[in-house]
Amino acid sequence: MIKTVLDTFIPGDNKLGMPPASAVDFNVYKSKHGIQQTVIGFLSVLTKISKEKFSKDFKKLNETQRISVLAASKLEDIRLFSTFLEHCFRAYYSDKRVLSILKVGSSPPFPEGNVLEEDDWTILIPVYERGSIYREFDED
Amino acid sequence: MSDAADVIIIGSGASGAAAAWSLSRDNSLRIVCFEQGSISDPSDYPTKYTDWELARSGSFSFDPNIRQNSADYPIDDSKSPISIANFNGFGGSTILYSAHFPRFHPSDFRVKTLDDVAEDWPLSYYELNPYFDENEKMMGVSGLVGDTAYPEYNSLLPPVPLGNMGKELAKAFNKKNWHWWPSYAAINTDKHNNRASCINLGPCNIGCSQGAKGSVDVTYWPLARLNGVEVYIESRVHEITLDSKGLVDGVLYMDINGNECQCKAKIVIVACSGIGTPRLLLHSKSSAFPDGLLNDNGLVGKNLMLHPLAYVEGIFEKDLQSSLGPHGCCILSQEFYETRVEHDFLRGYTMQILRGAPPIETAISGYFMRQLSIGKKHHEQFEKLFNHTAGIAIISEDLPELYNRVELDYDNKDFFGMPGVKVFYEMSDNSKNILKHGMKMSKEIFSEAGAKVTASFAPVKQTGWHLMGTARMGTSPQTSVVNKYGQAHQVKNLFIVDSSVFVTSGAANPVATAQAVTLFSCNYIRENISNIIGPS
Repeated sequence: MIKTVLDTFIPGDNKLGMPPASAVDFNVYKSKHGIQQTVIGFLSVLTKISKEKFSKDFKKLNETQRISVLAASKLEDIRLFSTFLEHCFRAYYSDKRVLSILKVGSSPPFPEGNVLEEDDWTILIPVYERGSIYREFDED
Repeated sequence: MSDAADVIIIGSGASGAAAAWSLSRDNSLRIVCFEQGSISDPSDYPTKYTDWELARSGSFSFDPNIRQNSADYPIDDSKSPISIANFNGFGGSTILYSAHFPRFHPSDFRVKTLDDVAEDWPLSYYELNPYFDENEKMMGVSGLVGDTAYPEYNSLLPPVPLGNMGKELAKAFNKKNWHWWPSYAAINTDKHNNRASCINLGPCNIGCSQGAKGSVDVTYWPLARLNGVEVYIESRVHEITLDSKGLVDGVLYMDINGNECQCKAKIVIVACSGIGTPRLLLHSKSSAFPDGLLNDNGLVGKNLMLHPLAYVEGIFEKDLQSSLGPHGCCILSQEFYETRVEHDFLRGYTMQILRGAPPIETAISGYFMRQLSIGKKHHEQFEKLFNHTAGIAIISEDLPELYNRVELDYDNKDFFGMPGVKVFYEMSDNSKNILKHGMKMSKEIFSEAGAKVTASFAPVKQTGWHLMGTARMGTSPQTSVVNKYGQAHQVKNLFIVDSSVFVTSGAANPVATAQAVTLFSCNYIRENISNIIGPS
């Protein structure tokens, strides 16, 4: 069920070449950050709402129904929903493959870093031409 | 266990490190620095890993109540709209700061004379000027000389690159005919003092593995230690003690093994930040000072200033690669720094342009600010956000108020049983009006730049980095705790050298001024040591 939930939050996008959230190793993330109880709690809320609203398991719902269950879970327990959502985003957007597709620049480990274009400081001429703007006064 | 030094420095952060280096030039002194935290190894900083953003909500969080390292003490800031941010470890908060390094302005030291508010400082910008220069060389500060918002700087390393986003906003400031300037940043943009140059990775505020950011563990400390300063790590001072003549004679501390120890000294220098310094003073009670050391006038812990901050975010149509480069440092504007008759507030603010958020922050804040949804449209919307955003932080001058204060919290203690602190803080109407104006002007800038404003709010909660005023300096023992040299009015061999001594807050990040004040104080100590400690 967790894969279906993750992919409901972040499905893949073929046009942009982005993988779905289930493509990242959420189990490793889950263990590393000790969030097993949060995940179990959130999945049980989704199961309960799915059955109440559609009399089906979450996995068997269509996409529109799944989104509506997530929306209902947010109303039921916003703190739990937000915590799970944040973990989902964190796991996804710290994945090497995702970061490489996003072109985030030099991703650790470096050493290359990011090259930023050299600046042309004539852009400061208007500031300079206005003259001093700090408050001058006689210290005595 | 008992020990003895000539000088004890409590705290190894920005001011403690500068004090250690300055005094270590007199090699006849045995100097011991006490640091309650441990030493961070730059090779372990999260910036080395792809999931570095995650460390911000864990062991590298700037919120001690989230981080909960053994060196941290509880800070109850539930009575403040602004949470306290810090780092307790070797190098102090410079390990996690963004390295903004602007100086205060000359007018900041004369607010009573010029604007009839608060108090003048007992020293001037021009007295501090040589120490600003010295400090900038030591810390490795980049920027550009010739800024029209300041008296002349002597020299700086080349500025951090503007990047495409910085250029777009710079053009917008030019169109408005408003001041802007490349940021002053303690970031090596060339090899300097045996440290490498910045490679524009971005996340300066979880520790710089490159060593390009001027945190004091890599600037002042290597030299101070080479000069013989000893650092007692994971050693928590819980009391400064007095002798029968009313002079300080040392400290009591818990050592790394949890043993109660004493270290005697001829001079004690306190540099524990605007929160940690009053905490230690208030906890050091004696028959001479039953309400806490130096607190006979009731001013220790009072007049806390935090620099309330507003944030405005804009999104550009174009991909400006805005997340690349040192995150906090790009450009600043001090167009509205000084008092103007047409404003409904006194004093003013700095606008700091912040680079775009990294991916996780983009996703989370994008969702909660309703710029990004879950489901089918997620990636398309993310693509329009990531590397397209810029932020403007408005740092307001925060005038001193007696109500704004820290007190000991006996209900919440640290790992060693020492009380934590409670923070009581309310924003003044003046600060609120400053932030309102700053947000309006920031929106005008984004509009001029062709960007759409997506968020605008104040105060930003998690921004209590700048901790000032809680043991302020002055000429009168009735209205201040220390004199212009940081020397306690009532105890001549006790000095406070961090931003606790600030009389007012200016509207610029305080570390450059705090360290200049430290060097100024330590120069006085070096030149007057025999008067302070008596003949040897």
